[in-house]
Order: sequence, then structure tokens, then C-alpha cells
Amino acid sequence: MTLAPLLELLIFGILLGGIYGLSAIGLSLIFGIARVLNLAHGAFAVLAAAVSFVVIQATGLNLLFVAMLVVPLFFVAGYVYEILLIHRMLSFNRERRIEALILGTLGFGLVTESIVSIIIPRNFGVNYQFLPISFGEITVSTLRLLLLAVVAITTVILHFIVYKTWYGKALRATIDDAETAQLMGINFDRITSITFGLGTALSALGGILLLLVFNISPNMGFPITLKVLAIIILGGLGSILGSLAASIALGISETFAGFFLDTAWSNSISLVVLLVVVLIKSEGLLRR
Amino acid sequence: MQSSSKLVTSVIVTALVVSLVWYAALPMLVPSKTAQEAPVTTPEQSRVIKIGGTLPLSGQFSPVAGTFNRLYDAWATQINERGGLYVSEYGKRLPVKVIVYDDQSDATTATRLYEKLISEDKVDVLIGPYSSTLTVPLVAVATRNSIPLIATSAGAPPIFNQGSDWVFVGIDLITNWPKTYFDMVKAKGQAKTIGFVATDEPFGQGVLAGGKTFAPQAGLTITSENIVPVGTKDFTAAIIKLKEANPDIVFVAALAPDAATFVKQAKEQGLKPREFHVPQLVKGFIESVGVDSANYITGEWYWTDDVLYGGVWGKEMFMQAMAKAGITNVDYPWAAVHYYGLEIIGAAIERVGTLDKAKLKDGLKNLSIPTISGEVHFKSFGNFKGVGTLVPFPVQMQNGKVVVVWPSETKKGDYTYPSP
Amino acid sequence: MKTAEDIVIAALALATMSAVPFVSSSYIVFLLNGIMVLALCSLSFNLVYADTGYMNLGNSVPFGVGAYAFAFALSHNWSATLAVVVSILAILFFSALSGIFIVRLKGAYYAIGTLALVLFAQALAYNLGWLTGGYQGIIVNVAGGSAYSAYYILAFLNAVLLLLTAAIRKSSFGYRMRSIKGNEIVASTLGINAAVNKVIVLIIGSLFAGIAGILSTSYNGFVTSESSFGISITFLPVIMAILLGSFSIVAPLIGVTIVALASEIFVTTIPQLTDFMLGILLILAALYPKNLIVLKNSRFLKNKSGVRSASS
Repeated sequence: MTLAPLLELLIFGILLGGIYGLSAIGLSLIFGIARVLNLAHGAFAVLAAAVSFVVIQATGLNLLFVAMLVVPLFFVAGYVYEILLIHRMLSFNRERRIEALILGTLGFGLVTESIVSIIIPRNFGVNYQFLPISFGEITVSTLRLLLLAVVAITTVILHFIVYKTWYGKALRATIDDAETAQLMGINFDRITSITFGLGTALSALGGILLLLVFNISPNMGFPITLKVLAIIILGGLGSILGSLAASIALGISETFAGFFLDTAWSNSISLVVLLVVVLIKSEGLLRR
Repeated sequence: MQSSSKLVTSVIVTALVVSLVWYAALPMLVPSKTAQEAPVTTPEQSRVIKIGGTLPLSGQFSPVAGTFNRLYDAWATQINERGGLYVSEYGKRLPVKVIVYDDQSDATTATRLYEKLISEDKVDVLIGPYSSTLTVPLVAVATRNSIPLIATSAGAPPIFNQGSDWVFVGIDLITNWPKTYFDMVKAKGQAKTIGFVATDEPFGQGVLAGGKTFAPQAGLTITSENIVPVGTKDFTAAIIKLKEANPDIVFVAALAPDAATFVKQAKEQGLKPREFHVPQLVKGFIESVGVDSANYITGEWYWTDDVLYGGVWGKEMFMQAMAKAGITNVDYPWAAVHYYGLEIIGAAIERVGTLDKAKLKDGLKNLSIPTISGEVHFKSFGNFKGVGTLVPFPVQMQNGKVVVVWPSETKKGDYTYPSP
Repeated sequence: MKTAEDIVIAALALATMSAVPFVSSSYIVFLLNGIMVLALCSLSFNLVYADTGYMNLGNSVPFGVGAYAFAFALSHNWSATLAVVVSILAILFFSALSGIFIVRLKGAYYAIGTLALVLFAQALAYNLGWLTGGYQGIIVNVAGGSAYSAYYILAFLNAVLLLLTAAIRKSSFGYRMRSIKGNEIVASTLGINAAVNKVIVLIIGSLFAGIAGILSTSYNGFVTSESSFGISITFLPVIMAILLGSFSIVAPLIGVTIVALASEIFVTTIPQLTDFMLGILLILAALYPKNLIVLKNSRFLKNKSGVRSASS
């Protein structure tokens, strides 16, 4: 077993994990602020990918360029989504609220996926032919390196937003202690809506990047949501760094498992890890 | 408050119960025009031949076969324009009707809907759904209800070794699928090694088994064999293993969506075999991978307009039906496979001369039917019954067009190996 | 607690249900079997959820275990009785096993943990090909009338589970469970052992879900990892149970009927829009529970002790 394949696997694991990480951070933020597990999160990713695909097919524009148009669009979409749908359900009594959120977000996800499958009734993906880069014996996909760069840049931007802007401060304050934050004048509703917008935009970016990695099928939304859910549980609900770390760890473990074990078990690895971690963490009750 | 809410409750519950009963009893209440199945001495004037099946109008298979209901309808219209199919038992031509439901690409839904076709729509013959996965459970349904099932895109062994007399298909087992391709490779004599990647479902497993049998016969050494679970999105592990083994040919035994993902990632990661062989070289694949990227990839098709066979009603009629349905062979190469089903059913009814299900089943065993891809008869061997004889032939993507490259009698282009 | 009205309605329902197979096609029986299987899973979910507030998303594990065990036994030509016994033992074993794992979990972790169990079970079913037939699953040869016998058994089981749910609610056992929902920490100071209660009710629910799985194999004729652990069998019963709110015993049944019938009608009439319409249905149910106040207030839908649950 030479070193080269191992290093390649490592790199790919990090890259794949990074892409999921973006979506995971988005969901983590949303959960952190509103205690909502948005089951339509993955569906937004697929919708963003679909919209971008259609635009690219129609105009031939570069994917990165299209992403810069589509992602802000989905910020708005997420914002509106919160105002119109989620907000109402947040005001229900505790028991009905959880039920309503499950039904509502799930329903919205179904509707979104249905629309995507009508517009693009097949699997879709985008291809750019780049020559792979070689470092000695290791050949790496240039595309994935570029993606890693995008993920890294986005994370830096996110860090800036969360730690240096007014919104970021308000967000952290609210996550920490919602009541005090509101007493200090922070508009909870507004923060929630913005966070939904941000989270959805991140999910959208993740979806668009996935277009490059593999082919997206219209009903991929829910499996993506499940995977992202598993990641944020692993990384700690509401923690950005935790989600990123967890997604990279998951990406690496899946890639390595796929190589060494019978590939049939590689999908199960993440579940075993999840189960173990959940058991260990079970002492930790949710805050609030 | 109590009494009015009691009233409301009672009304709602009663309404639910009544509607349930009504929906359930309705088929019995509506007199069925075709209530009798056995031949009668005085045939009814209004008898319509009903063919029933499901197609993946939604779900994961819809990109591959979701438009075929239009083909079925176009065919039915053509047949009816001639007055229908001639059934000697009735002494005249009877019109046909094809009933298709959406199985959502799901086996449980398909099973239930075929039960509906049999017990409510009272069809005469069943035409199979897309994919072996959905067809396998239907064998029991057809056998239990004593109705012939003409399978279509379903060539996996588990369908035909259940010991049922009622299932027939035009194509040969998928384990025989790659045979003609390997004949071609052998004749070319240049490739030495081959590596496989297959998805762990009936199609992938079946084609892989066939490939492993025929590759050595063609003088190839198998240097890598990778089976990936269904639903795998990231083929990195398999690609790295294939890069290490570095075979001349990489054989991708997977359904179109997975094959496309694999080839896309393989090229990104620098896997450069002398040839990619993708049996499912369909539009969905080509578009996903990109026409340029797909250049010189080989695959296998059952029919192109260059093929010379006539079929039961002639090649022209098939092409007209496709045109009417708005389907091109390039986009949906499996349309032809489903058309075989219609040809088999039509020929069986006219030759055996009856709509009696048991007689049709018995008659089919001995029939030799010309289809648009050649002659079909049904083989029985070992545990297997009802297996057809049609195999696909190799094609290759050459500069934007898919070209038949084997056998030499029918080919339109030359097999280019290695890929430049 | 039974008034004349209750008895009449129950008798009416019973008579109708018994008569249906005689007047309708085998397709309808199939359809109703599917609905009743979902109903059983839904009621079983509600058994735990309604009183304790815990979302056991892992109900498809016993379902799948039952379905696979039964299929495995039959495909090896064991007698039907032996197959049933073995399947039930398998169900009890696996639910006890998973019960031990998840009983320590609280709140959202319980839901996620049970969900992880399902995914793990699905992976196992897929990977242990020699036992489960892998992706293709196991095919069983079923006798012609099995759909009909399954029908009656399913109807019977649904009735039993309904009555059982009511009995539990009325009993001190149910009272203890509701206290867990109220405040688990306080409940434990009062000497209520949450863990034991949770496991007991989990096993009861699992038993019913598991038998539903056995019956599903018997009338469908096959089992695959998708049909037993897939998204539809895992999440649909949950959705149906909470669609109308979990306050009453019969609510899941109505939820099941609405969703399943609507779904079938969509599939046979507007195939491409099935998911779309279902999604709309869910959103409406989420946003406008008030329209169901009528049902909520009705006496028939109160739990049998006559007390409306605290959350309404």
C-alpha cells in the first residue's frame, strides 16, 4: 500500500466534507437561533442547483458567476420563507410547534422537489474539463482543489460576518441568551429571518458546488438534509466550527472506509459514528 | 356544545366510512363491458383488448422510461386505425387499449397497481415495467392471477428462475448483454486488461457477471473489480483502485445516472484507460458527462434506425409511432425494448387467435416472433423459462453521434481503439 | 365508559370493514391492507409519542425485522407457524436491544438516535446479503387468498391497538407516562422510573409494528430494504400521526386514511404532481390546526377517560 493513494484519499475526504460543511453550517445557524430543524434545507440546495443549471444551460455563463447571482437570491428566499411560513409556526404552543415545524418544513421540501423534478425531470450536473494536477505520484482533481478554495473563502467570510458585524454579534448574543438579548433591544424576529436567509444561502452555495462534483437528482433533497442533520448533531447543535469539523471528519472517514472496507459498509460508517457519538453525548440536554 | 359536536363527529365518521365503501364497491356496481374472459360462442360486439402495465412516470427511473406511455398510445392508435388486432376466436378485428399507471419507480407501488390492473381494469395481458427491480415481485402476481406478463426492460435472472410459466421477455438475460461487445474486442485484439466497476443492483450485478464470463474468453485479464453500493455518489475509492490497477478498458456496469457520475469523476481525477465502456450509453448519460467528454466511449444499444429488421408490423410503423410520441431513439434507446413487448403481445394474440390467458401462455412458448431487432423465441433451460433472445450490439460515440460499430454486416462506423 | 353511541359506531365500522373484501376487487383489499399497515405503525408511534412526548422514529426497525424474519423463514420452507413464532422472537429481541440503547437518550437526541438506528438497520439489511438478499430483497411465494386473511388480521390488530392505547391511557401506567411528558425530572423525584416505562411502552409498540411487518411480507410477497426501512415506512406513519395532532387515539387513523387515500388518488390521476399535492397537504395541516378544532372538541375524539389531554 503506497503512500500516494492514502494522501489522495485524505485530500478528497477533506474536500467532500468541506462542501457538506457549508450546508451544515447553514442548518446549524438556523437551529442555533430558532431551534428549528429545517427539513427543507436539502431541498433548497437542490433547487439552487437546478436554477443554476437552467441558467447555465440557457446563457452559457460561468458557474462561479451564476453562483454569485443565485446565492443572494436564495438569501432572499430563505428570508421570505421564514417570514411567511416558519414565523407563524413559531408562535404555536410548544407541542404543536414541533409537530407543525416538522410537517411544514417537510411539506415545503416536497413541494420544492416536485417543482424541480418537473422543470428538470432527470439527473443534472455541470462539467468543466480541467486537467488534473499532479504532485509527484499524487493526482488530484483540479476541480476539487478549486472547490476547496471556495469553501475556505466562504468560511473566512462567514467568520467575518459572525464575529465582526453587528448582525454577528446580535446572532451570538441571541444564541447565548435570547431573553437578555431581547431586553437589550435586539429584534429577535429580524435576527431569525436574517439567519434563515443566511443559512439558506449557504445551503444554496453547497448545492451549486455539488453540481460540479456529481450529478444531482431532483429527489436528493431529503437525503442531503439527513446527512447534514447527522453532521450538526455530531458537531454540536448550533456550533459553526463544530459543524465544519464534523463534516470534514465524516468526509474523511467515508472516503477511507470506502477504500479499505468492502464499499458496502462505507455508508454505514457515518451511522455507526453517529450512534456512538449520540450515545456519548446523551447526557447533554439541549440548552433552553 | 356537546350535542352539536357529537353530530359533527358522527357525520364526519359516517362520511368517511361511506366513501370508503363506495370507493370499494364501485367497481362491482359499474357493469363491466368486458366481464367475461373465457371465449364465448357469441362474442360481444364491444370487446376491447386491454393491455395493462406501469411505467416510472415519476421517481428515479422517469428520465429513462417516463415517456413510454406516449409510445404505447401511439402504437394503439396505429393498430386501431387498421381496425385492431385480428382474433380468430371472435372472427374479427378487435380494438386495443393500453392502460398505464405510474409506479413511481417503486416496487411496492408497482405490485399494488398491477393488482389493480388485473382485478379492476380486468386487462387481458400485462406488459412489464421498467427495470428488473420492479419486475421481480410481479412474477408472483402474474402467476397467482394466471395472466401472462410480457416483461420489457427486465433481464435479471431472478425473474425467470422462479418457475413461473406466465412470464416472457424479448431480451436475453442481462448476463448475456456484453457478449457481442466482447466479440468485437476480441476481433480487434489489442486490449489486454480490463477493470470493472458495478453498482450492486440487478442490472449492475447481471452485466458484471456476464462481463466476467466473456472477458477472459476475449483474451482479457481482469485486473480490478469494484462493486459499489446503490446510491453511491462519490466513486473516489473505486477510482483510486482503478488508477492503481490501470486497465486498458474500464467497464462501467451501472445504470445511466450512476455511470455518468462515475465517468465524470473518473476523468476529473485522472483515470485514463484506453477505453471507457458504458453499456447504458443513453442521452441522460451523454448530457450529464458532456458530449465532448463522452467521445469514443462505447456502449450497447438494442436498436438504431440503421438496423435492417422489419418486425411484426415493419420498421416504418415503429418509427412513425416514435415520431408521434415525440421520442427519439437517441434520447431513449430503451423505447425499442418496450416496443418488443407490444410486438410480442400483438403477435401472440393474432397467431394464437384467442384472448384466453392460459391459451396465450401456452401458445407463446412455441412462437417465433420477428421484432424490430430480430427474431425472438423463448428459451427454457435449467430453472429458467420465458427468456428471450435479443441482445444489444456495440455502439460508440464518435464526434457527437452514436454509431453502430459491430457486427460488420450492420455497422456504420469503425470501432476506434484506443481512444485518442 | 361505553355509551350506546360508541357501540353503534364501533359496530357500524366493524360491519363495514368486514364486508368490504366481499364486495370489492383484490386491488382494494391490497390498498386497504397497505393503509392498515401504516395505521398500525402510526398508532404504535402514537403510543409512545402522545403520552410521553418522545418521538420514536425507529418504528420501522421492528417492522423490518418482522418482515425480513418472516420472509427468511418462508423462503427456507419453514412452516407458517414456525415462521411467525421465530419472527416474533426476533422482533422482541431487536426491540429490547434497541430499547437498551436509546432509553438513555432524552429529547431531540431520542429522535435522532432512533433515526440513526433505522438507517443502520437499512444498511445492515442491504449489506448482509446472505441473510437478507441485499438490494433485491427476498421473494416469497404467497397463496392466492393471503391478501384477504392479512386484511382481517390487520383490522383486528388495529382494533386491539386502539383499545390497548385507550386502556393504557386510563390506567396508572398512562398517568405515569404523562408525567414524564410534563416534566421528566420532577417525575423521577416522585419515584417514577422513566426508563422502565419508556422501554415497556416501546416494546409494546414494537410488537405491533413488527407484526405489521410480518403481514406486509405475507400479502406483498416480497421484502426489500427499501420497503421495510425506507423513507415511506419510517416517516409516513409519523406524519400521519401528528397530522391532526396527537391528542386523541383515533386521530392517527384519520390522518392515515386521509394521506393514504389522497396519495393513491394522486398517483392514479396526476402522477407527476403527487409529491407536490402531498407537500401542500402537509403545509396546510401545519399552518391551520385550528380548522380541526371541531374535531378536537368532540367527545368522541377525547381519550376514553373523558379528559382532554393537557396540551390542547
